[in-house]
Amino acid sequence: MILDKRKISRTQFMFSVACFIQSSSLLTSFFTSITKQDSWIAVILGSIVSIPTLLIYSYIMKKFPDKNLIEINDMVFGPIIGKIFSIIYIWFFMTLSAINTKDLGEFVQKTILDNTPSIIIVGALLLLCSWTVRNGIEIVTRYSLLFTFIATTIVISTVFLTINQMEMDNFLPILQQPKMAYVRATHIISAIPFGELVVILMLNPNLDIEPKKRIKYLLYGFLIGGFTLLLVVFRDIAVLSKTIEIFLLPSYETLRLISVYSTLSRVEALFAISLIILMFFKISVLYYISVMGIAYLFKMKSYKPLVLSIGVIIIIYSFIVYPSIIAHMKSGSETAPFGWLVVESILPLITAIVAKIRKLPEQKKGMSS
Amino acid sequence: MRYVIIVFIIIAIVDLSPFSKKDKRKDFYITLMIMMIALALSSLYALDIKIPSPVVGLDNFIRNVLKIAYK
Repeated sequence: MILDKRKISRTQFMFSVACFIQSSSLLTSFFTSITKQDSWIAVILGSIVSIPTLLIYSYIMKKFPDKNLIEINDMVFGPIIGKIFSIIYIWFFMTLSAINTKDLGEFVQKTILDNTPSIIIVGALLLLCSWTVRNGIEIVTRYSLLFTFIATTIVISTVFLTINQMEMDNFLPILQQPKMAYVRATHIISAIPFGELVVILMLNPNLDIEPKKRIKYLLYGFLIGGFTLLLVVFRDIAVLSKTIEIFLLPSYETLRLISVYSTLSRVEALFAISLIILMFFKISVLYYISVMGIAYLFKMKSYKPLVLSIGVIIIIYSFIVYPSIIAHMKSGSETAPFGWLVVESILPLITAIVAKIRKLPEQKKGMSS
Repeated sequence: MRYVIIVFIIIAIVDLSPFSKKDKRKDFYITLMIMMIALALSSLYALDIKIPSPVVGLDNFIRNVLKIAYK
């Protein structure tokens, strides 16, 4: 049973992965506050550490090419334990949707629309997202190439515009932080931007790519996203030096410093554009996946009647998810990586191992996997 | 609270009206259930009643029970 029969092409899938990672590259303060000028090392380590998790995802995608995560859980663990796993994943997807909605709502309210109630900002955003989600995954991912192009162009152009502010000495001293700081930052990076790629397991049946080639496009997308994240962190450290640890949005502060012969300034609007575009994409994907998860959990015939109600739940959840931005930052850098690790790496690993032991999926005669 | 009711009347018209034509009883009840959860949460929020956050609960569990949080 496939609720959304529309397919995602190779390019759309690759750039969706890239766009998904790029959307987190704007909120780097979870780890820049820990490893300071060495954060770029943490990004590289985090990328390397995330590769085994991506291999687990690709193994599951290869073994169950026309099933999504909820169906895979039912097949691998049976209807009862499978449903428990599925509920954990759905809760995780809805929490991510709520957290990202909260981030974007707070950013827009604090920087652009300071007198507007946040429910108006978040409501307008989710209404637009719900329109996209009702039209299916192909619409959600169609503009991923354009969004990635815009975001990458903004990052590269701001690197050139900040060259006059950059100091290579800002990277020094290298590797002088406590060892635990690197472990912690690597853990945060592998859990928060990279580990969130577990969402692709929900898009699995919609991919118009041969099962064996899916890993290739996943890794290409991961490389594009990871490279942008690295570039953003490099730029911010080169400009801000150790002060990077005190800012909530280091990229925003970097762009505020741009001033080319007093003619080109106030470039931070570009950051706002980039953040809004990328977050819109990320929230749409997470929202779509939450809706699909619930529709598959209850084996519904259509997911469309759920869209608006789940949108309302995400809005309310985004208001209650963290009592303050400080609590959010504290959770993101202290506890969330542990909780997220379970959902992003351990549960998929258990799924892959159980599927391997039970020799699932059973192969039909005359069919190769 | 007035706005919550207006919003949910609109959602009910958009999402529940297609069920009158087709025989999808199960889908109808599930949609209604999710809509009631959304209505309950919105009403509690509109009435300024504190709703506990599951993420804060998870944080406290990791920090105080498992004691594995970074410091």
